[in-house]
Amino acid sequence: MTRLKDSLQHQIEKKLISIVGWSLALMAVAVISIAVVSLYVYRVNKLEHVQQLIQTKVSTEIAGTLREATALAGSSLLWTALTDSTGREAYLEPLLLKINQSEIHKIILLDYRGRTVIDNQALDLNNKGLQELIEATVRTNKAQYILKKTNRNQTTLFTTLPVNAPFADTPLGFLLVSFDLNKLIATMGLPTDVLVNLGSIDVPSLPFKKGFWIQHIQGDFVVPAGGQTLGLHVTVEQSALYSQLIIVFGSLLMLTAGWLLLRQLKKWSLSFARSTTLRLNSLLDRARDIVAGKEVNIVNDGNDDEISSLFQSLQQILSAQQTLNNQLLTFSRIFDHAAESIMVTDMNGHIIDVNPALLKMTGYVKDALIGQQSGMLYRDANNGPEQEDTTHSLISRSIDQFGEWRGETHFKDAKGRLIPVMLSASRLRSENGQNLGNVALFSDISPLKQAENRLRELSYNDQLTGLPNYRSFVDHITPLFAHPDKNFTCALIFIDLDNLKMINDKYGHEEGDLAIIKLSEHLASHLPAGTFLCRRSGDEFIALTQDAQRLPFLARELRQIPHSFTLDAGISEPRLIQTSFSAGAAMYPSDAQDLNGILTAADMALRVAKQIGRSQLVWYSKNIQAKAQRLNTVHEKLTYALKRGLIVPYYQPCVDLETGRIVGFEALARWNDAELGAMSPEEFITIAEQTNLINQVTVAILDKVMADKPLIRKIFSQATIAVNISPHFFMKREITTYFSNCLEQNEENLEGIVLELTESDLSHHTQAIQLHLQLQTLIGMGLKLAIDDFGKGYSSLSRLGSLPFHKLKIDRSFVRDIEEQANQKIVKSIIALGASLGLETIAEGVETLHQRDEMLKNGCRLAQGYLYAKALPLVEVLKLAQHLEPIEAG
Amino acid sequence: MNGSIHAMRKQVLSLAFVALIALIPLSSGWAQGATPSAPANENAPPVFLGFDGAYGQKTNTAATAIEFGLRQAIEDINAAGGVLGGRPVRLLTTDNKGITARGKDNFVDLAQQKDLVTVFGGKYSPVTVESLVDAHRLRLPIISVWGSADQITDHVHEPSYSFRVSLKDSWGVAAMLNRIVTSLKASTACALLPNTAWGRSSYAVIKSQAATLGLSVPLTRWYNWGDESFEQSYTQCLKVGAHAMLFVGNEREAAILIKEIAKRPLGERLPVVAHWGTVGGILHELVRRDLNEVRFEVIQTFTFVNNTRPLAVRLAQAALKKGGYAQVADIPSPVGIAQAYDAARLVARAVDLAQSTRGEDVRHALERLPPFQGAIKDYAPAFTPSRHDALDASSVLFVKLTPEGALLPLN
Repeated sequence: MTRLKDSLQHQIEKKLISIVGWSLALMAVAVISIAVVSLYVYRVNKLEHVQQLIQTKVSTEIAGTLREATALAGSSLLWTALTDSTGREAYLEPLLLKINQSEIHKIILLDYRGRTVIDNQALDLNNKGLQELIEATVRTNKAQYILKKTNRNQTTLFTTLPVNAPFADTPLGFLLVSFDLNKLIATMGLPTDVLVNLGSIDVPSLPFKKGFWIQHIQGDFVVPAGGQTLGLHVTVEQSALYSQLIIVFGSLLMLTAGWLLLRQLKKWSLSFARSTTLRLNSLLDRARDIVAGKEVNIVNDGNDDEISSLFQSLQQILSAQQTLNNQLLTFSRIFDHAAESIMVTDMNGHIIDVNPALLKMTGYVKDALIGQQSGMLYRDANNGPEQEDTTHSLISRSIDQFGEWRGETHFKDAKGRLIPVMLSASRLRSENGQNLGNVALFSDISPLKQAENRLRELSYNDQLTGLPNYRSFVDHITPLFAHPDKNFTCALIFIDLDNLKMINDKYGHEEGDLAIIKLSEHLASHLPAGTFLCRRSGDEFIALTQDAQRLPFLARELRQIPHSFTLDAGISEPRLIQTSFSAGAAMYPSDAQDLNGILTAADMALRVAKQIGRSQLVWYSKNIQAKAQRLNTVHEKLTYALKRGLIVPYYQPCVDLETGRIVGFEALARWNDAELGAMSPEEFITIAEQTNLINQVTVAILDKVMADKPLIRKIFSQATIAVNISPHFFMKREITTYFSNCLEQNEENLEGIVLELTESDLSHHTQAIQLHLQLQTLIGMGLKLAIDDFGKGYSSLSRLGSLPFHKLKIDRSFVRDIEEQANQKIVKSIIALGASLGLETIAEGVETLHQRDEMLKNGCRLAQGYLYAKALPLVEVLKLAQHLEPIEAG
Repeated sequence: MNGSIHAMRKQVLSLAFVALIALIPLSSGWAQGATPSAPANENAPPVFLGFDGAYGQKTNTAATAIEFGLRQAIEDINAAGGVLGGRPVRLLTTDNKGITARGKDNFVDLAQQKDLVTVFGGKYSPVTVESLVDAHRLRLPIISVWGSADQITDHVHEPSYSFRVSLKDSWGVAAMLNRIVTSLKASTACALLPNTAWGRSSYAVIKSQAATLGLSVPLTRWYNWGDESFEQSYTQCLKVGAHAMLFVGNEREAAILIKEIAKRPLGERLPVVAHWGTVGGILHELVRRDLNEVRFEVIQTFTFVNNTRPLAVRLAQAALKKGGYAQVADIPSPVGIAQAYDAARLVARAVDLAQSTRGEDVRHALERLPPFQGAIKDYAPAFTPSRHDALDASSVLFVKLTPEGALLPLN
């Protein structure tokens, strides 16, 4: 620590010593003064009291004595004595003796000329003053007095009074009363150092002694004397020497004590200042640490006093302040770096601060905004930039009322453009609720708005085709049917691309999408003008025609639209794809009387169109409704049949054409419904595929096959059992899971199970690697794979070569039409292909010997078909011989 | 002597002088009647007689009565040629106001007067008694003409310069006791006495003689001059069964007593035999009709009533003329007039006998006077060396005082 010029230690020492020293000095002076004054007042009071006592005593005694003398002068005994002669001593002497028992006063009986009547009266009348008094009394016959003072300061009051008898016209004699005031005062028992000097008022007495330690007071009073009043002057004095000595001694004692106190205080102050300075330095160090941002725990300095309290409080305050500063810094950074625009206004709406984000967003410079009315910046988008509007006042009212406002508004930028913003304005209030202004947070929501517009566009337009989407259709059609005009009529057409799945599978989804686009273009160009066309979903379109005048001709016009057309497709390479669409149409109000009804009707017509062969337009009719109901009934029954296990496999044997030996079976789903009878596999499989029940059908068949396999293999030990796997089931990983479970549950392996897949099933897998892996997994489990219906649709030779198939099944259409030259070539090629790839080739649908021969001739040894056996239930299969003989149907 | 005394005396003397001048026409014939000789030579140096009386006593008439008697005597003496071969007799009076000290001083003052041959003492015995020492010291005869105290003549001084032409208690009070027994028929009486030499003198007589006289005096009460009431003493008298009261005092005290008795019911009114001091003043004026309510008998040594002695008659006539009284009974203080007159005449005769104005000589002459027919009695002689009292019990009489002031002799 640096050496301070005027250290706290020095200040405390200087101040403390100065204050305490002076205080002690002043206190000592005050105490001594008070003592002196008090003593003086006390002694004066005491002397006054003594003086009063003396006055009272003297007055009382003199008055009493005079009363006694007056009574004596008025007594007939005295009168008698003064007119008596010899013998009067007998009564007069005792009387006078009795009266004069007091040492203080004497009453002397004088005759008419002032001579003593009784000789033994011990009073020396032979002095001048007394004689003059007596003479004056005799001369005037009246009472007289004299105050006589001896050299020894003995004061005696002499007074005379005449003895007047009622029977005499002059005084019979006189009484001389002497009153020794000194003796009287002596009887009062005053302190021995109290000196009393009594004298006539005319001759003020002087103090006996002189000296500053002598206190005296004087006073005048009157006493009765000589029939009048006598003024007396009394001086009472007393030495205050001892008291003053005590004060001096006390003062010395006090000064010594004060000096000792001062010394102790100095020692203490030095120590206290030193320790306090050290503590304050410690506090300062800690404060510095806190301010410097060091991690400091708030600690007590080990004492329990104000500095300790200050120590802690200051640490807390600084710590809190530091936290606050950090917060403020954070807030400041937030303000400066926030992506959001922030504007702060005062209570009058004048801008007092904005953050860089706002300047960046609006293009203003800060100085241009500060002090401006914030209201000028808000605009309703519907109003022009130059127009005054009520947006600001609305916001202001809301803030005034609710303390905040949130919502979208527009902000006028430096170029006068309106920026859509999300504004959150709130009132700034002080701790005591005082309005300090407002703070507004803006977000530029231009991108959001654009996105919103885009979304709106998306939600009402089909992105692929650019046509209105189904939502748009609903919005369009709902009002029409809400309050339909009685003349209102319309035709609703549901359109569906027939083979989108195939296109997707075969060419990929991009080609599928292109097909959808082409269809939309095709429809748009062929549908009657004014027709509202929208894309419903996927490959479905809806067309609405309201033109009443054209409706009667609509059916014809629609029929003229080519239902089958060639797509000029090919994304990566030019490609022509043949496709078609199916359509279902219904008329309002002839076919249905409300929106749901016509929608259902059109949909029903479409489904029928699809079911009856596609690529055609079906108008809704009662018949159509029946077909649709059939569809629904089958769907319901199928669901029920699946739950009850009514879908069972029938096994069609696969034989060696040369030997007739049964080499395997193909499990085909059969459903014999109690109500509907034996259901056509085409019908319920189609419906199952349409209603997403096909997987359940697959699993149900597989379960049965797995159960039947041991029985079949017991008889036909080498026979394989082929099961058709639906593309959905194959595409999901459920198939591997399913067979994994089978392996875990059954001790028997999956040997002999052949999974049949169509090429289109494989096309769903866009990733060749994944497909390959999945196939390898299945093979790994012991399964064998067969391509079903090979040759039907579009076959990819490259995929066939790269995938690990074991068998190849020639589609039945080639076998059936083997007579055709082209088909023979195809079959021959397929068989050759299979042979070249090392695959077993199986011909499907061999029903005639000719077909058998042709197959054999072309190198295909295995086949299945009615020539040998139709699909048989397990019971029948188990009864079959190892070899079958061809039985040509008649 | 101081100035004030001189002044006072001068005043008194001047008053006396005026009175004397006024009396001259009256006295001339009187003197001649007394003695046929030529009147005194007025130019000759006078021989002085002194009189110290209680003039200052407000209710006292004794002093003036005595002075009247003295002047009447001087008038007669001077008319008869004075003394010592024609020297006129002059009277000097002083006022003692009843105060002994004053009387004593007056006596000394008078004694200073050249050719003053005697001083007459007045009504108040103590004043005379008080002057005895000085009388004997100065060897100047003092003659009491009203004092009754035994001490006036019964004292230790030898030779005695004191004389008396007056009642003496030793026989006067005895006469009063006797009056109670004989006239009032009372066997028990109480005494009310002043607390003075006079009272004490009376008491001594009561003590010594009452029993002898057959009177029981179970109660003697003392009072002081100036006392305002005697009710208590009187009640005590009644309580002790007194049938009469012996009262010694002057007019003022008598007036109080009479008034208090008069207020009592008849049964409680004791008859009072009183000393003559009671009629030495204006008692009747003080009590008036109450005198009729109380039997109040006063001892006297002289009365003008029915007195046929020549000098008594002459005195009465002179007094009647001077005072304008309707009758001789109305003349106040007759004892004072008569006793003063007789005393002055005796002194004049003594001076002539002594042929000297020296006190010693006069005293000596007084003890050796020839018989003299005075107003009161025939003195044969008036004094002897062993008897300085000129009167005795034979002169005693009792009177009653009327509301009008008349002193009427009883029995």
